[in-house]
Formats: sequence, structure tokens, C-alpha cells
Amino acid sequence: MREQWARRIAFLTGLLILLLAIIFSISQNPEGSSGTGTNLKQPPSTGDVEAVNLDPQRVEAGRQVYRQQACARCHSIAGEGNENSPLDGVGSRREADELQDWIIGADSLQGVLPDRAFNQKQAHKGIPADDLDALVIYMQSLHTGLPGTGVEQRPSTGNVEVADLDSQRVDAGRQIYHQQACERCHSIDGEGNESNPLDGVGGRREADELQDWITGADNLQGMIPERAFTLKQVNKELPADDLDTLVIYMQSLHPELHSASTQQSPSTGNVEAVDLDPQRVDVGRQIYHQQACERCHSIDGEGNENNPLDGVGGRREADELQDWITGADNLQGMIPERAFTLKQVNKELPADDLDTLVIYMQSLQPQDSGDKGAGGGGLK
Amino acid sequence: MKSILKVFFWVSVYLVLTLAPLLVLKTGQVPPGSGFWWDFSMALAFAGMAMMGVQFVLTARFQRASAPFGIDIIYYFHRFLAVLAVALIFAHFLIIRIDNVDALGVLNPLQAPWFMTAGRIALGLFALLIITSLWRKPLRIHYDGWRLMHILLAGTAFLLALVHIEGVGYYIEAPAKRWLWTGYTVFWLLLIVYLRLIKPWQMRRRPYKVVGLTQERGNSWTLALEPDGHAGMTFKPGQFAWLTLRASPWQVREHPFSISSSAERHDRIEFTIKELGDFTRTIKNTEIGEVAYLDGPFGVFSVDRYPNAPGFVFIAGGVGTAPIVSMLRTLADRNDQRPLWFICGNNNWQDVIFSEELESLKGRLNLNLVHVLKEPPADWQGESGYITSEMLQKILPANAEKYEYFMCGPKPMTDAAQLGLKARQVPLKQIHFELFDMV
Repeated sequence: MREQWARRIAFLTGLLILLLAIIFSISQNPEGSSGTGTNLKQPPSTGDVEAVNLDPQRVEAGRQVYRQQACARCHSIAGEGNENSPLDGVGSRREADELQDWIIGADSLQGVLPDRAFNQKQAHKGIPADDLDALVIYMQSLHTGLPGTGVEQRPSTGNVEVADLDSQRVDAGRQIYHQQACERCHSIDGEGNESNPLDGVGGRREADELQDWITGADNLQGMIPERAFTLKQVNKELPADDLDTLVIYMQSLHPELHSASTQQSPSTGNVEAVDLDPQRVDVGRQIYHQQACERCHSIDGEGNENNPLDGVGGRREADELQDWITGADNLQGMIPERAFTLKQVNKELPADDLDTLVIYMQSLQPQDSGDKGAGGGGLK
Repeated sequence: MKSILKVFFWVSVYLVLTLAPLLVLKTGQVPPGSGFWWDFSMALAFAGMAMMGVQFVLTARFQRASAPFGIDIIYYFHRFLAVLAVALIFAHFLIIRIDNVDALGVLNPLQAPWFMTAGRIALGLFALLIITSLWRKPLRIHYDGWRLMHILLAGTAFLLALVHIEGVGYYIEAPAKRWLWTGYTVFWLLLIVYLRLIKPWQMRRRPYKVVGLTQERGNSWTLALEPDGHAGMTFKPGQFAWLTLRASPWQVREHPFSISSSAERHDRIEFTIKELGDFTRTIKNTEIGEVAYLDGPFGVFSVDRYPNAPGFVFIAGGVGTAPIVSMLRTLADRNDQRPLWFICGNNNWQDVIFSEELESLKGRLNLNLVHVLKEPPADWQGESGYITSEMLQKILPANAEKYEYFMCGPKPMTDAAQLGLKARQVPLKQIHFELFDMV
């Protein structure tokens, strides 16, 4: 009797463990993002300009060192290894000396790399100079195709209407987007990691804002998850021209052009503000105070200036505002966890109150030159 | 009902301890997915390690936690889980080996990172741990030596595996996970300190003195102990204790034996031990006045757990009589007049332990005593051969399904007896036996 129960409980434990492990792995690797790995499955092409100069023997020696050091524990090449940090195309992204710095975790990378990665790389300082050299050469051999050859042509969504965007640069930007493996964390048109879709981002953010978000500018620290912030630092190393091009690509992702993936465009004009009932705006302000929103937000410099709301009505649509107020599921991972948790409280607001609060937010239109001015003004 | 709640509580505690690492994997900042098989493999390893950790707790002989189940079943469970946990840890290795062999790096410990080497050694030690435990007897490993080796192997393998987890560092960066693993590590360290230092010290402060050594029939000896300067232990009849003789409590040289004396006598505790193995053969050399240490009592093999039973049936073979005699003596001391049956199997009449006392107990108890002899003397009137299902049909009372059954003896005997009880519709939950000799 008792043995039967012991066996049952042991069996149950095993089942629960398998089940949880499977749930965990599936949730870690949703359909969309696992595509990242397979996209890169094509073997690193070695046939282009720079790669020609590489001694195949040295490349092979480097591959041995790569294997010996078990680099695949954290990196993947052509989908083999830990797909967290693919090295495909790294040879066209970085110079030889940069590559070496990244391999050994040079001091200049402290803070740029996650701490753990940085610490682990320190061990590579012990690699004999010759082996290190070979490893760098192997990395150089991981070359993406020349612009236009590597990635298949996708249905161009961007260049029709945004007349002032040079379609060539948009295309080049797309190349850089893939080169930097942005789809590890972002998706466009459902391609890539769908936890952070970029569709319509060109309609939401100005060029300089886009640049800040790409490079993880200091003003974003604390606003976005730490890991995201750290990862974005890598883009600071992009040549200015490439960064520009990437921004242009982002601008091309204009909501009006994405009928499928994004709903209505958050129009940046203040037309809508005219329609707002001033009485409801006032009630909304009361709810704002009642919910103690100023604990985390400021309006006109009143409240917590970490997260100014000035001009938010010009930046976001009503339904987006509602999502941000209540911490809707699609924001998980996008905003700091504590913020996300705190926002859940607002899910308890009566529908009418929530509506009113949204209207109040809509009334916060940018003063003159957009939200930047308002935010900046609040800080000084 | 209360005991069901206790069972439920401890099973829940066990499940939480085992599953906690998997439950917190998704909290805090989670690195992006690394491929299904990669993440699956990591999750299995974390679960395997949590199970391994719980293994230490299971065998720590916490009386409160083991009381609702019986410590014997906990050891049985321990053995089951060990195989499962090691299987999970091996699956972790094999998945990476097949799916991502490059991630393992070089084997040569001089070139490989230290934490990968730690992981490899841990893997080997875990395998060794399982092999030496499941096949101790065929491998002819001495019990005392095995126990020491088991503790050292398990501790070292576990520590190296922790080093491996810490060194690799996946999924343990978020504070919740760091706290969990730090908590586990601290807990296990404290457990080791308690088990190997504090508990022996407590045992040492409650020594017993050998006051008697009597030769019994059937190559057995009864060892009598008296508490030396303390009140002794309160036990239920049929329970057992770990006995240490001629060694300090820190030396982990203890052996479990059934208590054979009456639970109504606290001042004197007796063990009846048959000469079977290395240790038991030395019992006869024990001298009066020697110091002994006891860890106990343990076990759920006792009539005291069923105070409302209308009567009891005992089925024992050979030295399995020891815990039964403890129950009979106790019931006699309490003048309990519920109907009792004792089916007592032995090779021959000369080997029947306590045969005279059993006869005299018939006068103090409502006891039906049935001896079954494998090699009966020429003039034997009673049952002979092995205890079989058919024989039980003859002996068992009419309303057999009402009584509680206690069985203690060789496995073929208890198996046959169980068949007989099943034929008489005795519910499984009324049949009790101690599982022993697992290693």
C-alpha cells in the first residue's frame, strides 16, 4: 500500500517536472523567435571581398580553438550552439582588433557586456596569442553576404508613401537590422521575437528618439528592462552612417503602411484633443490623483519626474493609453517589472473611470515642438 | 483524518522543494530562448538537482516528517527518486551532447573550463552513487564502508554540480533565482552540520549501557540496554531504532534493529538480533557495561496506530518475530483482551525464538498461536511447510477482513501471505509490513 503511494508520488513528480520543463522551453522559444535561429542556418558565406584574404588553414585552426573553448556554450554559428548570441556575420560587423577585444572581454567592454559574459570572457585572456589570432581569423571568416545578397527580398512595406525616405537607404537599413540580429528581440510584420514588435514605430517616434532607443541612450536607463538596455549598448558601436540608415529603416515602418499588423496610426497632431469634453478631463485629473499616479509620473513638473506624461496624448492612441495605464499583457517585458506590477492595480478601475482617465491623458498634448520639450523642461 | 492532513502537508512540502527551481525559472529577467532542446535540457538539470537536494532531507531521519509515512517507505522513496534524479541529470547532459556537442568543449580538464570539469566529475560520481547503492551486495561492498562512501560521494557530487551551475550561470542571474539557490545551498550545509555534528552530539549526551546479553534460539541474541543518566525513549511496540556499538556517534556506524521489549517499560530496552552479517556476528562479543547509542524510535509497524481495531493478526518468519513479540508483550502488559492470531514460521522447532514465552503469553492474552515448521519433527501435529495462501484460508478467522495484519519475514513468505489475505477480501490498507534490507 505505502510502496504504491511512494511510487505514485515519485511518478507524479517526474511527470510534473517533464511538464514544467516542456512548458518552460516552449515559452522560451515561441514559434516566432525560433525562426531567428533557422534564418541563420545558412552556412556563413566565405566568398566575399575581405574573406578572400583569410588563410583557410588559419580559419580551420581558429575553428578548433572555438571548439576547444566551448564558445558554443554561449554562441551559435549557423544555428549550432546557444542561439542566445549568434556570431553569424560577426566578421563583417567588427574589425580584427575589436573582435579580439570581444573575445577576451577587454576592459573597454565592462558595462557593455552583461557582467556574467564579461567575467567569463576574462578566462580567454589565457589563450595563447597564436590561438587567439586564429580565433579572430575564424571570426572574420563569419562574413555575411554583401548587402543585397544575404537576405531575401521581403514585400517592401516601407517605401511607397514615405516619399522622403531614400528606398536604397531603407534597404540598407534592413540589412543592418538583420546584421545586428535585431529580430532576436523585435519583430516586424510578425517576423522575429514578437514580444517587442516594431511595426508602426516610425509613426510613434521621432528620428532622434529612434536613435536613442536603438543605442540604449542614458535617458532610457530604468525605463526599459536592464537586460534590454545592456543589449542595446552594442549598437553604440555602429558606424554613424549605419546607425542613420537603421533609423531610416525604422522610420519606414510607418503605421499607415502596415494595414495588417498595426491598428490605427497614433496620429501625432492634436486634432483629437479638440473633441475632449473639458468636464471629463477634469474628472480624469481627479482620478489621476486618486490613483496616486504622481507617485511614478509627473505632469508639468508636478510628481515623479522620472516618467513625465507631458505630451503623452500626442504620442499614443486612446487604446494604447489604456494599455499603458492598466499594464496590459503586451507590455510585459517592455516596461520594468515593478512598473508593470504596479499598473495592474488600475485594472480594478470601473470602465467609466478608466475611460475618463484616458481622456485626461489625451488632453496632455505636446506644447510646441513635441514631447521632448515638455519632458526636458520638467527636468531642469 | 489528521494523519491524512499530515501526509498531504509533507507531500506538498516535498513537491514545492522539488519544483521550486522550475517555478522560478521564468521570474525576473529571463535570457532569451536558446532553442527548445537547450532550454529543456537546462530545466531538467535544475529539477534533477532540486530532487537531489531533497534526497539529503529524506534520509535525515526527521521524526516529525517521517512519522506519518514510516521511515522505511521514505528510504524506499529515496531510492526511487535517486534513479529519477540521476536520469534527469543524465538527460541534461545527453541532450546537449546530441543537440549541441560544441557547447561541451574539450574533455581534457587541463584545457576545459573548471566548471565544465566539475559538471563532468559530478556526473560520474552520481552514476557511481547509483551503481554502488543498487548493487551493493553483488559488488560485495561492506555496509559500514558503503554508508560512509555514500555520504561522501553524494556530498561531493552535489557540491561539484552546484559549482557547475554557478560557473555556467544560466538562468540564475535574477535575484529570485540567486536567493533560491543560495537558500538551498545554505539549507543543505546546515542540514549536513546538523546531521553529522549536532545530532551525534545529542546522541552522545544520551548514552545507554549494555546490561544484558542473552542467547536466544535460532542463532539470535537479545541485547538489553538501560538509559545512562536520562529517561530513555518512549516508543510504540513494533518500532525500531538505529544502534551504535563500539563506535562514537560521529563515525556513522549504526545499524537499524527492531525493539523486542514491551513499550510499557521505559527503563530497559531490548533488541533481538540474528547473526546474519558482519556486524550482527559481533553482537555476541558485546560486554556488559559497554556504552551504546540509539537513534529512534522510527517506523509505523505498530498496533498502536490502530487503537480501534477489533483484533490483530501477526504473520512472521524467523527473527521477524522480534517486533511481533514487542507488540504481544506490550498488549499483555496492558491486559488487552482483543482477539489475536500469530502465525509463526520457522525452519524447525529448535529455531523458534521465544517459543516458551509465546506459550506463556497465551495465558495472559486472547492469543491463537499457530506454528508453521518447514522441517517438522516426526511427532509434529501442527502446520508444516511454507506459509501459503491455502494454509491461511484454514487458519484465518471467519471475519478476517475486519482485522489489522502485521507481517514481518522473508519476501516469499509475505508475498504468499498477501495473496491469501487478498482471497479473503482483506483491504490492502489493513496489511502492514516493514520494508527492510533495501541496500
